[in-house]
Amino acid sequence: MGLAWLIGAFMLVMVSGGSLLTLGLSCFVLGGLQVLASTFISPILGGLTIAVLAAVALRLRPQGFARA
Amino acid sequence: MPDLATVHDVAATPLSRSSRPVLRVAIAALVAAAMIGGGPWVLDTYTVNILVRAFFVAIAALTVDVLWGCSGTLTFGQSAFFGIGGYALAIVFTQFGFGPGEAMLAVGAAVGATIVVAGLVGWLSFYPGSTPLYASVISLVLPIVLVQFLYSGGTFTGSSSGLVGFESFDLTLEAWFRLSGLAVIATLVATSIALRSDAGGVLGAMRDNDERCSYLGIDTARVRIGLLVAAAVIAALAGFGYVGFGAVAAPENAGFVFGTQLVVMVALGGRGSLIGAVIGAVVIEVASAYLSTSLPFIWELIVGVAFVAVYRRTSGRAARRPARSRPRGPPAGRDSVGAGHAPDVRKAQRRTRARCYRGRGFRALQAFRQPVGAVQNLVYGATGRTRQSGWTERRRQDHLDPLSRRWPRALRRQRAHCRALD
Repeated sequence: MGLAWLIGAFMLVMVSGGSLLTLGLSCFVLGGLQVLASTFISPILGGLTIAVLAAVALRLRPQGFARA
Repeated sequence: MPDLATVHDVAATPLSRSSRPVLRVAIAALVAAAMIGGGPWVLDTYTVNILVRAFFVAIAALTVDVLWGCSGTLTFGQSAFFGIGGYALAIVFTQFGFGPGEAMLAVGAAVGATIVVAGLVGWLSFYPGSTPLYASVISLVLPIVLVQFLYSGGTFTGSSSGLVGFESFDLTLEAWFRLSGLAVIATLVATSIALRSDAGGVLGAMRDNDERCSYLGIDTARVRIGLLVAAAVIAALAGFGYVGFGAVAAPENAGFVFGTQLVVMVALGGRGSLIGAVIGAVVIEVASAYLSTSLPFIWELIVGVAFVAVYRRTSGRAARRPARSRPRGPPAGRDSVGAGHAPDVRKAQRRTRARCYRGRGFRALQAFRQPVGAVQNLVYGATGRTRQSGWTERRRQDHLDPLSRRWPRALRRQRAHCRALD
């Protein structure tokens, strides 16, 4: 119940790194990509988008994007 | 700094441990094996059934304990390897039927797939300069990705209902009980022997001070990847046995929730204590089976509350201390210096401080370390585990050292964290 939302939210907060501005931005970018992937490729892949992209983003910037 | 003494301690402990603890472990293992052998005559069928599953879960919990308790990587991903092992068996037996050759193929597929996935995850998680938090996040992503793949697999993976109705090993319930029980004991003994060795000492040293290990020439990233692969293979074999016994492979066995349950089992049993992980897993599994019928929804709540209570009790001090030591620590000092400075200087200071405190919740979760209660002390008495007293010894040295007395442990760790981020 709502677990997918919880994990997505957790990942987005990790990526944003503690600022509301970057949080909004990361929600917009990653959430948008999730919707695009679900619509044009497959809903299964869409379910993975945020988690996988957040993992990649955190590999590039472990501390998040708050002070980019 | 007491850290030098810590490293020396770690190096010296395997030598100072005489054959006495080994003898104790051997006796405890023999007693446990005897209990396992006689168990089916005493226990009723339902309990034996539950215990077989609990034993396989306990092996997976043991690997979580080694990763989290002994080497300091909080992992939610062991459930994924458990699921890979189980699904390897289910897919092979569904596609090719059951037979000795097929069973070998299934074991090979389980181990091979696990090595590939664990190697990939390890390569992604551990690299020079990686943070434990990142490894945890990757371990969180892994079961989610795996379950999505299982859902999308159609009839090949059985989608959301899993794979059922394949022919599995034809063993009696008693044989399964003895097999799984002996597997737990063998894993327990092998792990404790491995952790007592010099290589096992490296794990504790990595957990306590990863940077210093790197300075000493230990390739910590490689050691952690190797450890993850080994732990993943063991978890996969446990999942193999679990599905082989139940003849049902469900996506829940590979999912994120199960991974969290494994962490809760280890936390309740006592992080860093091998026998504690097994006891935690068996108690929670058996209690879940009995109580989930009489207290269907309340039971989850009870486990959750117990987890929070143990969390408060074991890491409450570690979580609270930074808040108390903040006013007399360097951030406050810098703040008073910066009081007369331009606003942008103060802003930068505020940022630095925010950086210090971000992720404290996660590090507090890393602080589960002490034995939990009476059961633990009983068990320590029986097996002669001395890891916890080593920690107490270190804390005592912390207090003796004037330098570390002036800088509380939490504060020092925080400052190291700040430096690492800069």
